[in-house]
Amino acid sequence: MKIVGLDVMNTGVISLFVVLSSRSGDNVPILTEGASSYAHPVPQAVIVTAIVIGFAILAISLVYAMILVQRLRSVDTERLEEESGG
Amino acid sequence: MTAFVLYNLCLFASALLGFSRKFQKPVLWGAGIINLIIVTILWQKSENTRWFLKSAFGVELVIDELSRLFLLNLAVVWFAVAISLESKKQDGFFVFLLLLFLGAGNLLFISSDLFNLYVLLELLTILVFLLAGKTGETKPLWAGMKYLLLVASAMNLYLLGVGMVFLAEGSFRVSSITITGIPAGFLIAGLLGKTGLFLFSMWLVDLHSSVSSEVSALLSGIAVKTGLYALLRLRPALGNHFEVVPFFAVISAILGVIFAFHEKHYKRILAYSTLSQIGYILTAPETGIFYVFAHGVFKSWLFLGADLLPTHDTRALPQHRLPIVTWSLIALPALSIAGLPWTVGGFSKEMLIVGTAWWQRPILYGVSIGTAAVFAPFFFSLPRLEWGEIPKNILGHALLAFFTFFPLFGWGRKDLESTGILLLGVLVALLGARYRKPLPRVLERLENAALLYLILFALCVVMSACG
Repeated sequence: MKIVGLDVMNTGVISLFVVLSSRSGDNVPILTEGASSYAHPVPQAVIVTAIVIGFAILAISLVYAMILVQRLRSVDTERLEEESGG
Repeated sequence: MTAFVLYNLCLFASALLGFSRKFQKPVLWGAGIINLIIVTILWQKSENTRWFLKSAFGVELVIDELSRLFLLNLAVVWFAVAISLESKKQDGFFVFLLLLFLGAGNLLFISSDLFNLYVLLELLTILVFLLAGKTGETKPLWAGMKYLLLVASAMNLYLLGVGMVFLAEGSFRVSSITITGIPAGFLIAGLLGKTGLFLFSMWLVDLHSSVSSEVSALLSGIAVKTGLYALLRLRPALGNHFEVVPFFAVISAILGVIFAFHEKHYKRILAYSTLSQIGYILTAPETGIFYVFAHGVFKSWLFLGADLLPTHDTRALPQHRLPIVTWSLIALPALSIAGLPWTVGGFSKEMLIVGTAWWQRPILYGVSIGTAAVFAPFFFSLPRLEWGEIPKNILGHALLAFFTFFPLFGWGRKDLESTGILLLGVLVALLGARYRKPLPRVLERLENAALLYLILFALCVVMSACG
């Protein structure tokens, strides 16, 4: 559940960047006839990296969650905390 | 600068060699030595270089005083860890991760724009997570899971702040922007969550105490310094808003020492002490930067010594027989962290205290005495000593010892003051020994830590929005 929450949060941040880049205009940042305002390319370029990182974190945390669940037979964080001796 | 970046890319490539059992040893040694030499050359040159991509909002890299200090810290600690790993059998994946860690750390410590910082901090988070879980035991797995969840959400908040700054300034370059208002709160809170301040990053104690000693040394020596670097790098751009940080730092310094004093598990003491020391550094960031290096050296030395001890219960330690070499490998860094003059600890403590405000000074003296009290049992109460064999990873210890004691060859000013603090600390330890009791660990549970972090995050944002 927490992992899903984290991913939702990540998506929110990504959307912020997409909105942010469209503030200066809606057109694709390629020179086109008849278009006067273009979307800002920089936030879009950097957010691709953030998306990849978010995906990587999601993937490895799911793997670890899987191992934990296999060993402790629970997804309840309270129980995990006790059984792992934390 | 270009050469340095290329060198790090080569480091990433050479990480692949770690998979081959034949190349492991030469690669670890080679990378460590070459890295140390390169960083020493950079240190000697002492000129600042800046380098950025052509457009106005691009990537910026910089090598200055701050970067050099962190780079030296990374080089020394990493090399010591790498050569003490040699005595143990390691699989290829672990060596691969270690080499990636070195390259990513090097690049992080020269980057100077908001987004580069984000990417490299996240990369290091993932690497730390993988290194922590490498032993395959359940406890480090869960600690790593907590770490990942909390730090990744903190970094998402940071990224949100970066977005807002870009909206206002149209640039990521730290040197050309000023960060004001709410985004400042987002950035500060995000980085504090990563750095390891008490209340902000409660994942730290579980993580640092459960993973293997070498990884702990790497975590306490370098990984917590990454967030610290980002904060210090942003300090000029943050301006007045940075004043929120010393406030939380003082709280962290005090609470960390109190918890460490009551704890009896060796590695948990060290972890609590890390929380306290990070607060100590951030209280006086201007004069305290040398303490970053000092803390990196002696804390990782203490962690490397953890494997040599017969038991991790410090109260039971005096009943055990200890080889005299092992005992000195614990006692010497403990003396240094307690602030013995002519060691790197005492020397940098003196430097740090100069830059504090009037209300912080008595508190910081108190924290110094507390730290001395926490570590007094390690050098003051003698266990039964005996002649034993020299431990296998002595070379790593020797390297760290050299850097701990290099002030012997020159500096050392207010000897009386630090000796006084040391003796007071021993006194406090003797008097307070009977009042020690285990403190609750409620704050370290995942839900509580996350909730606490969110409250403090809101506080940070409100404080910086009000100015």
